[in-house]
Parts: sequence; structure tokens; C-alpha cells
Amino acid sequence: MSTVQWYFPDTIDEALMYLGRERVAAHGGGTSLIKNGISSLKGVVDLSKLGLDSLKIDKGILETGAAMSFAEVAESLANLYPDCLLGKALGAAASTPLRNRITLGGSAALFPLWSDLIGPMSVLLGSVCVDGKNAGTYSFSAWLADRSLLEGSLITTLLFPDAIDWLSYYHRETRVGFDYPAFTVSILARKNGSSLEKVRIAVAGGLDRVLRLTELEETLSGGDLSALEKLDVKKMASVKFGRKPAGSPEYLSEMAALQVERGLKGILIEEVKSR
Amino acid sequence: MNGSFVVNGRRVEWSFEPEATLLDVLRANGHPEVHRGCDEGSCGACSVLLDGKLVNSCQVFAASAIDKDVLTVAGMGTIHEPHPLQTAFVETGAIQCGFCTPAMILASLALLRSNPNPTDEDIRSALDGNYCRCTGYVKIIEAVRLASRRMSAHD
Repeated sequence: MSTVQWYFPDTIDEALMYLGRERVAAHGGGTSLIKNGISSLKGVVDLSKLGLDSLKIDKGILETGAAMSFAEVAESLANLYPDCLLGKALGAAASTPLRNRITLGGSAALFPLWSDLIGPMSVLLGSVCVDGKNAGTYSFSAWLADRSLLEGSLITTLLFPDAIDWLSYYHRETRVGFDYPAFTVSILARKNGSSLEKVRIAVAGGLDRVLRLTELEETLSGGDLSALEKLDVKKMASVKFGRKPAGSPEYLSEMAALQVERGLKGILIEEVKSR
Repeated sequence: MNGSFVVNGRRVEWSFEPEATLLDVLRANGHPEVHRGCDEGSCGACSVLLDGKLVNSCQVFAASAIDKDVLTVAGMGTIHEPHPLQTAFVETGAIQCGFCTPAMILASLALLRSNPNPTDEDIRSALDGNYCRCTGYVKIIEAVRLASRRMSAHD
């Protein structure tokens, strides 16, 4: 006989009261909880009544509620800002029925290996707003570095301070469309005529989990577009991988570098769309 | 624990374990049309519409679906009055073993409700979470196109 207790709080304070107890977990869409099982837990707190399900964009700052599903965010952004990297990435994640359940908060809590959120969070300089014991707003890197921040706390919002008006490219390396990606490539760029104002590039899924290609970013940012033709982009986009079902470390490293090169040339020179 | 659901338009009150999935609860309460496939959210055979959204019922805790609307393929039409999608699947030969069909029809319904005139790319994208190991998908896409034309003509 199971002893797991479900709670359906109406307020964040009430949710935090339950989450402060031992072996109690938050439930957004439930996809991760189902994979891990809840029989070892004492309680599960459903977050669907807390009002954490709105998306707001003001002066370029994108604010997304933690209980929003990937599908809700992707659809909202596809209508408002079709080139927004976050919308492209979340709209391509997993499959249609799973996108209807996976929530931003759940994904930010765990950043599972297959997450399509981690790359966009990195290049969009996203931050995680938390209420409860560790209340505050944490940069993506600070959040990722300290998993204890989630204890006794609740992710309420993800913030993206400069989310729109970028040229963007998102690639998920999969064997078939609905597969989990072996890696993802996220690229943002702003150009002014023939000069490149700013470039940000992240590869997720390698040994570093998510890696910003800072050397390549610094070489390209502030330079001329023609520099892209002369650079050995593939060499500068070297990312280390472990063995995965999708391929050997060498193969994945080669493919990731190729996709970075293809993405940069695509959005800056040929204006191709993301896959 | 106990919970109330609206399944195919009818309010029901069921008892279930706190860790039960919506798939477990539906099948235990007379809905064998919701098929158990991979049980890990990959194959889509267990798909239902939850408050109008396509979900894998094996990936939804029943507790989180309390008071919500659940639509299974049995709620779409009857043998005497089938839904245009059900007719289209039969007429185009989009069914072989039939295991994926209930979920495939529900995924198609979710698509046509939000996008009555989908392109082939839209159809492929909307059905990306539903495996069919028999048909090769060609006839399924044809069925959705046919249903789309017929349903639009009736609007």
C-alpha cells in the first residue's frame, strides 16, 4: 500500500510549506517524476494551481512561468517572435505529447541529459527565479553549479534578459526526428551590415554538459562577416564527447563542429532555417 | 486515493494508488481502447486528450488529472456514427494491425482542432510522438488529409 500523499496547493507559500518537508517533490508535468518513480517519496506537490503559467515579454525581457509546458512556450513565441531561439528549441524537443507535459521549471530543476532547454539558457543568459529557502534570482551558471539551491525551494520563473531580435540557429542531432538529441547547437548573432556585433554559441550534450565556444565567439564578435570565410571554424568548435548510442566520441565531435560551422554560415551568410 | 474525472463526457469517480498513471486507471476502469505500449512515453500508443491536449497517458499521474476532461478514441464516435477521422482511416487503409490506431486518430484530432488545413509537414510533426510499425505512415497521412477536407467542407 503506497503512503505517498498528493498535495494541491493554491498558493506558493502553501506549496513551500509542503516542499520544506522531508522527501517531498514538486510535480510540474510529471515526466521526470514518472521516470524516477515516486514510491520512495512521502509527498508530491502539484504546481498546477499556483498561476505559474504565463509568458510576458517587455522591452526584450522574456519572463516565463515555471509551470508552462514546452508546447505552450513554443506556441506563444512562434506567434510573437518566430526567430526566438527559445521557441525554436522547445518546439523541437521530444514529441508532441511530451511537449504538452514537460514544463520549464521541471526541466530547469533537473536539466536532464536530453534537455533542449540547456543550450538556449546558456546563450540567452537565462536566469532562474526561486522562492522559498534559497529565494533569489540565479544566473544559469550559478544555478547549474549548485544543485542544493533547489532544496526547500520552488522555481517560479525563468528570465531571459535579451531574448529577441537575434539571428538564431538551433540544431538537435538525432537519428530520427522524435529521438532525444545526442547534442544540440545553439547560436545567436547580431549583425549590422557587413559587421558582426555579437555572437554566442553553445554546444550541449558533450562531456562539459553545455559548453560556450568563447574563443570562437570572441574572434567573431566585433569583426567583419568576411572573417567567417577565412576562419577554421571546425577547429575552433572542438567539443569533447563520451560514447553515445548515436555515435563514437570522435564522430559526435566532428558532427558538432560541422553543425556549428553550418549554423554560423547559415544564419550569417545563407540565411538558412534551423533544423 | 479517490478522484473524479470527466471521461468521454461522463463524470466518473475512481479509486487508485497515488503513483498510478492515467493509463493504469483508464485500463482498470473499462477503457481497453487506451493501449499500453512502451510505458515510457516513446511509442504514443496510450495517447489520450487531456483537457484537449494530446498526452501520453503512461506519462501522466492519474492524481494530476483529477477533475480534468479525458477523451479516448471511444468518445469520438460510435460504430453507427463514426467520426470523419475514423471513417477516413478505414477508407484509406491507414489501419493494419490496429494497435497504434486509437492514439493515431486522437493525435490527428488534436491537430485538426488547432489546424483544420494542415500541410503534410504539419501532419508529420503532429504525429511525431505516435509510432506505427506497419503502415509506413503514407496511408495515415493520406487519412488525415482526407478527414481535413471533409471536416472543412462541413464547416
